[in-house]
Amino acid sequence: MAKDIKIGCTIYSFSYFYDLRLMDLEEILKKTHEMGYEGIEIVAAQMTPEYPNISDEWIEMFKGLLDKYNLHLVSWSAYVDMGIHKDRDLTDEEIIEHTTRDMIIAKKLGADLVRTQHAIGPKNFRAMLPVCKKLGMKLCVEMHAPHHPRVPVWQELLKIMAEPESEGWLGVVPDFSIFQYAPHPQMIENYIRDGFRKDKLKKAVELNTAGKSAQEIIASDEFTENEKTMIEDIVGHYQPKTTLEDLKQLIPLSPYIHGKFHYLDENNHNPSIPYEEIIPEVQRLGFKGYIASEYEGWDEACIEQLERYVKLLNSLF
Amino acid sequence: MFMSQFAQWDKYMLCDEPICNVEAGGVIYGYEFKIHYPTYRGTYLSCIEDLYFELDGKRIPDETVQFRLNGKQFLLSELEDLFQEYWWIRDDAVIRVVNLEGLEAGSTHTVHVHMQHRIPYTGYEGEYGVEISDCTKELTVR
Repeated sequence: MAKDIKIGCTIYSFSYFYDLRLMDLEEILKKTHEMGYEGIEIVAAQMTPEYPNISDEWIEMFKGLLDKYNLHLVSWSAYVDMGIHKDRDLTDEEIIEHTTRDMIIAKKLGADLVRTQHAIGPKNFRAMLPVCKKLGMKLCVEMHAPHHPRVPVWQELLKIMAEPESEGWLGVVPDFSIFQYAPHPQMIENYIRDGFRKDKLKKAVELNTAGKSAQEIIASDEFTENEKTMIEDIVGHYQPKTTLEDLKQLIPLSPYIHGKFHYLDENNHNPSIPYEEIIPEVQRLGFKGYIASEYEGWDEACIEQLERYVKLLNSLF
Repeated sequence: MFMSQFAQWDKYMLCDEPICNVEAGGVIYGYEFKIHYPTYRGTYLSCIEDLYFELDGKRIPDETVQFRLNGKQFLLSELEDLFQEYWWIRDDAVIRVVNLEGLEAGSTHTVHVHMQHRIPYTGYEGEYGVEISDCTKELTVR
């Protein structure tokens, strides 16, 4: 088939190596290029030393590295850090200022789009449309678990995205965490660390996957109060409220997708996100753009895991 | 109870470098060690809601602790107001303790750091996610 769908990489996947100063930005871009990726995303709040006051010198340096390794910047990943004040949320004025700043940097870098977050709010999101048109820059809100299309803020955001004047400018970045139906290995470790007994946890996770409610799981065995709280957390986070059917609404509004994963086994299978069902549907719905490999294991397995991810996606196209 | 999404990073919070005594004009007036911010990205210092340290099981008095970052020096009690000081993930903060005597060179100590910190972009379900991060290491004085 024509390559309507391209596999990109968010270099956030290299967090372990970057954050612990085991690889620098250039080494990561070089590795990304060597792995065959052509399009990338950068998480600004992670990989820019001057954040949030990013200089033109840094921008030129980064552009030079992108050129050197033949990489295209698909997404400048921005945040709406609503909670930076001890006693209040950001104001609309501040949110618009932060978002405009990110869009200008993204423009200077030649990015396709800015990824923002739901906290931008419907009113500010719509207010960015003239900036998008002027700069020729898409602004897309990431839909990340535990959110789903029926959350009130998302109903409003999706409505704005579907308006005719928004087409090509305001969109959604679905993150496949919205389909996650079981805790990933790191969360299992966290639950055990927080005192969940292994055998009991295994049973609770199985019942969660079977779609049982927290009350039903709690009633199925003897659990400590601590374990009961964690069961509610598991059910709250790992019983996806997004269905494949929802992709019919999301994909026409999506120029970009976050291919989130925490672990792929030796057969390139993800035990907590149903990739084998999602990808064919995304393709059937005519998605055009990048699916970013987004490894969130935060460990040294990232390179092997990214290689498995590319194999998984290619096997499903 | 808190369920940390970022617990994997806690073990890196105390840097492995040795403790160093600090001196002025030949007089040792304190000691310092370094800490790393325990998630995948940086944060604003105003998001640190609680931060304290223990040395050999005893709390280091907060008023003797200087938090040093971005070429500046802050009191722990000032952190909550610093919404324009960004702690980049690859910059370690220097924790300087002014105890007017330093620590004996070559001695080994159990250092513990405790941090409660708000994740400013969360709030998916109304409330901000608040992380509790702890790290304990044996560090030797150079």
